Amino acid sequence: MDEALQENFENGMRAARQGHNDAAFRILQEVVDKDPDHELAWMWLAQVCGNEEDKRTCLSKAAALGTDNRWAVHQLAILAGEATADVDPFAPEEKAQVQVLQCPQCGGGVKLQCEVSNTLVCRFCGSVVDLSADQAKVVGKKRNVKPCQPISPGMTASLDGKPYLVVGWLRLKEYSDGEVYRWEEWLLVNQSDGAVLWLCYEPEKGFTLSEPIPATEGFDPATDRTLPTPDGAAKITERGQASISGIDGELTWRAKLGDSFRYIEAAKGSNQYSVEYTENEIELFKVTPLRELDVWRALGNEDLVKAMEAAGATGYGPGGKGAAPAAVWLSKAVLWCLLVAGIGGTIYSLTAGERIYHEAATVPTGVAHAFPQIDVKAAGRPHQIKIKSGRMPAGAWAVIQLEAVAADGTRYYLGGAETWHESGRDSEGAWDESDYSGNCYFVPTENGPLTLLAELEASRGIAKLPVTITVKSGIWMTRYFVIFCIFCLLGLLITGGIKIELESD
Amino acid sequence: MWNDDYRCPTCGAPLPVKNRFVRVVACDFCANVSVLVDDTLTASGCVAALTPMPSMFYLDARGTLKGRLFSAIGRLRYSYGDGQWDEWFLSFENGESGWLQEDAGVFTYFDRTAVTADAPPYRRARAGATIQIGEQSMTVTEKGSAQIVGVQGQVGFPVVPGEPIMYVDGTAGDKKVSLEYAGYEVELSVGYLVSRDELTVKEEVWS
Repeated sequence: MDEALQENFENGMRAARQGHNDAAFRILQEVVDKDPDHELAWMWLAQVCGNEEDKRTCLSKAAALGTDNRWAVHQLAILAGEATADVDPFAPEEKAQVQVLQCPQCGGGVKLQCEVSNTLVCRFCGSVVDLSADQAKVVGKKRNVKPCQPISPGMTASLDGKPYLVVGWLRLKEYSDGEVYRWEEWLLVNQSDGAVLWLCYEPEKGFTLSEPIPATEGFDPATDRTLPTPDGAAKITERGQASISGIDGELTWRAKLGDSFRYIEAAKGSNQYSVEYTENEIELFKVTPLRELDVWRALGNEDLVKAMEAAGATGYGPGGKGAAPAAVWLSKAVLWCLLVAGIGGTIYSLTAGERIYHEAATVPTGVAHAFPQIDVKAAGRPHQIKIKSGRMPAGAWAVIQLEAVAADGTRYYLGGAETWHESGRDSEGAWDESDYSGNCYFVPTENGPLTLLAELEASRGIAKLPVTITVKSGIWMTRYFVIFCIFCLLGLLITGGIKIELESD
Repeated sequence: MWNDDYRCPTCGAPLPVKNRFVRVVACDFCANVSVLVDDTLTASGCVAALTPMPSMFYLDARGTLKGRLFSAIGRLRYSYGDGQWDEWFLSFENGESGWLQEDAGVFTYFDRTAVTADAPPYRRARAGATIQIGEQSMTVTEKGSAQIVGVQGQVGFPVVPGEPIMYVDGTAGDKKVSLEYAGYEVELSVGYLVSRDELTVKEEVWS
């Protein structure tokens, strides 16, 4: 047979396979016109004929050409009424093409949305049906839970211009640190090429889209700290174990309530990945955050799209990236401003204040020593007292307590300072440390003269000690600014204004 | 060119063999499966009618894979615990053949050879571990058992519907590797992922 004729015949056969009977008939007719002995072309022609007469002609030709074409002979016998099409001697044991399934529990007729489904939830009685065996069987019952979002199996979606069908739904849960975390996933199947995507929703993160990608490098999901991805090693950020607590629609594997798997989440820069694995299988996914508005647009939910646009809410979930709600941005901006103000206040507080008193005296131990009076002019404001002692020999210590005596004789304990000098030797050699000063604060209640009394207690060998007292008024309490800054930092960490990434070993 | 010397041993219909590497043929008319051994076709079982999967491929589809013209002359449907996948037997213009695996929309092209070196026992494989097959090492990503549930057209793998297969899938660098333990034969497949850009199927327009 020449090549052109062969090509024509193959075209005709392909057309017949795809159900284009008219085109197949026309092409195959051309083949047999050029090669009347083409037995196979006559047989295919017989399959696409529009009427019994033509079919009989084609089958007769094929039977005459073939030395033992029992198929053509049997088909002729069916046409002649000598055999019935119900009894086909060559018929294989066919698996029924399940397109409408009768639920084995309630008998309800359920039309399959996806031809590769292995699990189906009966919409009448809620039975979870395993389709993967020769005989469909009930393996459980779905719980009376519904998706938290208005997305259900049977809906269509358009993502990147491609048509998808929402085929199945899962609710997953995880116990961690005494808390229960729940999230949901919808199985989307591309209507034209069968590709699969998972649309996920977590209250903390909003919507994400998970696309299966090939795992090109081996890794141990139980112990490795990084995940090999097409973008390089991604740092593992979370591990856990989830189980199925809700199920609906159809799924492409044999799933049932209570099934569990382990998962890992990882990130490389702004790229996110996840892994689901069991002892025998690892699946890697590329995870893309989605804006909620885009999800409703993809699903054609115009009501929600309009409602979100009217409210000005266009962003991702609370933990997701992208356009966060305005309130979150505002709070971050305010916290940053407060932090900057806090840092400025801290710096200023270190230098603020006016020195209103500076006196030195030698204070004997065991006897209160009166310093010259201090004239308080800023009652109600904090005052800082700095106490400094003279140098002491190594091993010595001193405690200087201060009291204030008002003009009316009222005594107020102001505070004190402990000074010391120590030395010694360790593995790194000799060391020598000392601290000869201390601070305390007081807030005078009235203006006027105050007498400062100092009492000295010291280690043996020290009978007296030079002491210098300096008082500043109009100070700012540094400690409160530091606490303020810490709270601002915590707020920024909570709102995501600051992120801390720990480097792996 | 096809080999027109054969007839279906069950129904007698002409059964041209489309590629020299074909070993199993499903008759288009009676749907029985025959095995080609030593130039003889022997009936060996029945073919299960394959439920159509949404796919860009179909039997006898023509197209190009990385610029090489092919015809998809056969299909094997595997069913495992959690699902199914298809493997298309491709016949190239120069007479060579290969396998294109289609699993949930992901295509992988494999060259298959029988394992001559010692294949590791199936039980030794574990997801995440690395195993050695002769000079080829692979990191295991999945292991399991599957069954051939259907054949369409002609394929170059000596298995028939109902036959169980134990498989170990994994990676070796940027290549995908698969070991299939079927009966007494172990086949090693080494291949690579095929992107949609590298794979085209000729769109037939029937007027």
